[in-house]
Amino acid sequence: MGVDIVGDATQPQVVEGVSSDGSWRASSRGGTVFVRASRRLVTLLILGSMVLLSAELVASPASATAVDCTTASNHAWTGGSWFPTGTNFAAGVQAPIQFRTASRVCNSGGIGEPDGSSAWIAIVNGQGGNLIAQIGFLKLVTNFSTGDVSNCRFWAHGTGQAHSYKCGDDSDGDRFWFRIEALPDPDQPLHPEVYALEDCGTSGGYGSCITKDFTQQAWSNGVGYTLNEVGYACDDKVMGSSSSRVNYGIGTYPIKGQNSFGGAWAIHDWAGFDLIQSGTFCNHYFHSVWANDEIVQTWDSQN
Amino acid sequence: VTKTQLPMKVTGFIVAGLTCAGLVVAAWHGNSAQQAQIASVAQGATVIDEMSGETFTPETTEPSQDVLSAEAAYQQWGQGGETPPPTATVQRGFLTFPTGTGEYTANHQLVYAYSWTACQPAIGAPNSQGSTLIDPSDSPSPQFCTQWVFLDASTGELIDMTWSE
Repeated sequence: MGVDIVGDATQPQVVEGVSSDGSWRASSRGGTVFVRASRRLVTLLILGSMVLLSAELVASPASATAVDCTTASNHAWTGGSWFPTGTNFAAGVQAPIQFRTASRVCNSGGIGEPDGSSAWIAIVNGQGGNLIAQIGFLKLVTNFSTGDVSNCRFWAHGTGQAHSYKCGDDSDGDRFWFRIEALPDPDQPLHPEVYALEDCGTSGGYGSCITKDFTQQAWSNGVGYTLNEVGYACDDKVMGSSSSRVNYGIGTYPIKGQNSFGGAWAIHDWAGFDLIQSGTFCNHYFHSVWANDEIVQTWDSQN
Repeated sequence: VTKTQLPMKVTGFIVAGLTCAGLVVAAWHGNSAQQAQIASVAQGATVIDEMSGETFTPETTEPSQDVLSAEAAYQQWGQGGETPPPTATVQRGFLTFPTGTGEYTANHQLVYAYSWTACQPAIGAPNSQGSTLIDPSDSPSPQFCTQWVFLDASTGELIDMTWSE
């Protein structure tokens, strides 16, 4: 039964609704059915409505946190890239990433390109390459009906097929050490280097890692990325706010890379950028700040 | 085929069919309007990720272990109140998901597989023109994409959520 209370509760009330038990005296005004109720009845109705509303809130799933996607899918990135020079290449990238829940992913309704907000490290097979080895965080709509989102960790390989795991396990501010490392594959002839996509947990450092994937053969022209990305640049906000930023690297564990297979982990020259996909005309509020090629902070000032 | 063998074979087919139907019905006990549609149990494995060698094989016999209902498993994962999309199908079966190191994320693990039509969010690197290059969802139309959620059939724990074309 739906009931709307109209008017001041201290005055004689007009209650618009449907009586199920016939106890209300109903009258019609211009085709609309009204019930003139006593103050006592109104009080009871208010209390009853509050009980019903409370029960509904308790029974409902998590409230929707996404808005509808109103524009075409256009990507935005903020963070940086590492393009080694000469004969060097990005053979490995490692960094702790501090995860932030603050962001907005719009709800595409499952039509067209689904939406997502992600923060990750990756190696790509050269500038303009079409293959990737990648690991980090992903926020995405998992219920197109309600717009409910999930926060996951993920990894991807090949042409980008992503595998999400530990959805819902991480909290705002959690910092995970991630590493992409090219290692010889002992099970293949000639032992080619293969990327180990490693989730090294929250304890700090790379001493205890879980290899999520070891199937992507490594490239000798790899370039590195540390990026915070969204899929609908005009509707979405990348992770992090000005006061709670997504941090790649910290003082004791800066972003590091290997510039050859088996090379030493070292700090390299990263180029920061904030980029929105060409053809997209809308304001954007994402930012990145680098500190000595060691740490990059990314955020959206609207969060 | 002898005359005595034929009825046994027919009976076997009927029993197998009823078993499969029973498994499918048992797999989903929800009564919500949003509950997933029941998929027919197909024979053979589905390749989920060719590079990893990840496969899902629908179950054709009664489970040898206690399992949750498909709805309970999903709610367990979603921490209550969550249901898969109305268009989702659900199957129970075995997931094998090698990591490539000789170990497995799942090794013939009994799971519920929920699947529906949806493409992967684009997660990739930009090129110098600012268009994403690595984007599995760029090329196919959505109707050719499948989102998969694999949950442990006993605990509801998420094993993998991925997308295939």
